[in-house]
Amino acid sequence: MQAPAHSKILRKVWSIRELSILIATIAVGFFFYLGNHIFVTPYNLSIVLMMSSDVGLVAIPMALLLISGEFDLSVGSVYALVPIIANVMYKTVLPNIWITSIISLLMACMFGLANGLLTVKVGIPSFIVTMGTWFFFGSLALIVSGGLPQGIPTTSFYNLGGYVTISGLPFAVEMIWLAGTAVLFYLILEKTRHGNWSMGTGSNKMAAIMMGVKTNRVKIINFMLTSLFAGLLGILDLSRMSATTPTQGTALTFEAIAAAVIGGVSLSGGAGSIIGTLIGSILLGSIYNGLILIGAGYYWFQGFVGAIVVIAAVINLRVAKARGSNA
Amino acid sequence: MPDNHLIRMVDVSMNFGAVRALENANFTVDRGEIVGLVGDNGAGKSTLIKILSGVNKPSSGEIYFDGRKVTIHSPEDARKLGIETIYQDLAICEELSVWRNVFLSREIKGSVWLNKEKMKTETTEALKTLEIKVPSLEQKMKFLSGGQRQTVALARSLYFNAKVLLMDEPTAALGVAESNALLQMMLELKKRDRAIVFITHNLRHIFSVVDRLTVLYKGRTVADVPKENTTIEEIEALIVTGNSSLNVPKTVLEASDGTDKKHF
Repeated sequence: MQAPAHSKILRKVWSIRELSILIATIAVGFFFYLGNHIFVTPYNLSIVLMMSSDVGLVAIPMALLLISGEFDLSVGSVYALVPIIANVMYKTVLPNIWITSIISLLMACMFGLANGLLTVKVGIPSFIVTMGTWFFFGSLALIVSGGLPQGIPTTSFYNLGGYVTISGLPFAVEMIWLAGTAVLFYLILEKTRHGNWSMGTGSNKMAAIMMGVKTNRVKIINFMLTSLFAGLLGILDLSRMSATTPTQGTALTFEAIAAAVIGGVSLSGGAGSIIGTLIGSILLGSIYNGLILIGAGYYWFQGFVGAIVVIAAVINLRVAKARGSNA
Repeated sequence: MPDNHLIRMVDVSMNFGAVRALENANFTVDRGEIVGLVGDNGAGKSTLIKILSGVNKPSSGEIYFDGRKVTIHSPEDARKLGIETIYQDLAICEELSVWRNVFLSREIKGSVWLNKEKMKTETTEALKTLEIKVPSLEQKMKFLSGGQRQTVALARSLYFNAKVLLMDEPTAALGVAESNALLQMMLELKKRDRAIVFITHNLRHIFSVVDRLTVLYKGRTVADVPKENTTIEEIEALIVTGNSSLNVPKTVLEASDGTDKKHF
């Protein structure tokens, strides 16, 4: 049976996983451009990307974790707790913010290790484990900080996550971190054995075990990476804002999962794309920024994100079908 | 005692808590032989296979491979010996492409990154030797038919030079034509000196390819007979009752002594 030419092309388009979400992001950008031309100026686009990093730096490692079949709801609290630890240590015992940052990031890895061990060794579903640690780390952030925002009396590490001026234009350093993270995780997922094992583990754990994949190790590594990057984002934001709040990051967990899902990551594991997750993060950053520029404000943000998550899920379903019938 | 068997399992028992899944079971496989392993649900077939494939560790008993005593602690151990398991559906990662499934856990690496191109060419070659056709190497396994999945799994084990293939209900999910194709493929593998352990409830399928049949009944080996010396009816009786009224070899009578009484 000969399919008409246009439907063939359409199916080809559907079959490129990241294309649909890219088109959606461009369409949303164009919509905001119509509302306020400032949206596409280089300066504003750098702000969009900075805001995208605030989701993407967690969404991208989360994507790898989701692909290997697990959740991490605790990232929001880790994001709040890690910079507080760095800051309090800096102010009390170790007056070098770089060293205290590194120590607190190592602790972030331990938080991830705890999530991982509780999930794979004790056998509690990661949804429950990380809901528990979300509460726990959130509480720790309040206890350690005394519940108050913590200013940091140094600017010596502002360049880590703040802005630098390049030929007169401010340039958000977090963009570099986002790009670097995306490249790193793209390589891990697509070019390393760990990436292949993550897909296998998430797709069919028993099968992967029988084929010789060390699924527990795969999951624990991914829990640790996710936690590490949640902590890193906290440190970068501490650098940029010179302050940290114990209650920050309440929305981060679901924004990160939303960005991954929008980007085509399967919540049941086994499949997903780092590039898609990056674009999903940029889409969220665009909506956040664009709504402010057109004067609608933040209250609309979650409504938009919610609608887009559902639309993206429908699109991804069609993409999956097209990929199945295509080749 | 001289040991010409490729695999010999001696008095293997397996307890899951209070449940005895295997009780002093004996099982042998020779080179280039197709052995049918049959028994009712819960007779211990899958437990035995899982012990051989390294998924379960036996509570007691000995396993010899090529005359050498071995312990199989993990699927990796089993594979190193040359024992490959082909499960009906279990050992397929549906979301992964054909070539990823073939090479999962045995990826080919370049100096730094995975060598995808090499894995794809090798997959093509492996499929070609068995004259297997799949729509595309990038196709996810979930979009292949049951028969195609089985053959990909077969190609995988052949590529890695399996000496013994453990096939647990390989025809259960297949249509008539696909089943026949798979049975043909098993005979083809036998010609290439591969041993196969064939587990199925379908005695017609078993009888069309095997050289020998081993019957398990409530965790015990109750019969071990060449195909020529038995019939479908006798095997059926052995499966259901652990005993046979027909021409029963000596080993059968000895083993079934303690197990058949409560049925009569």
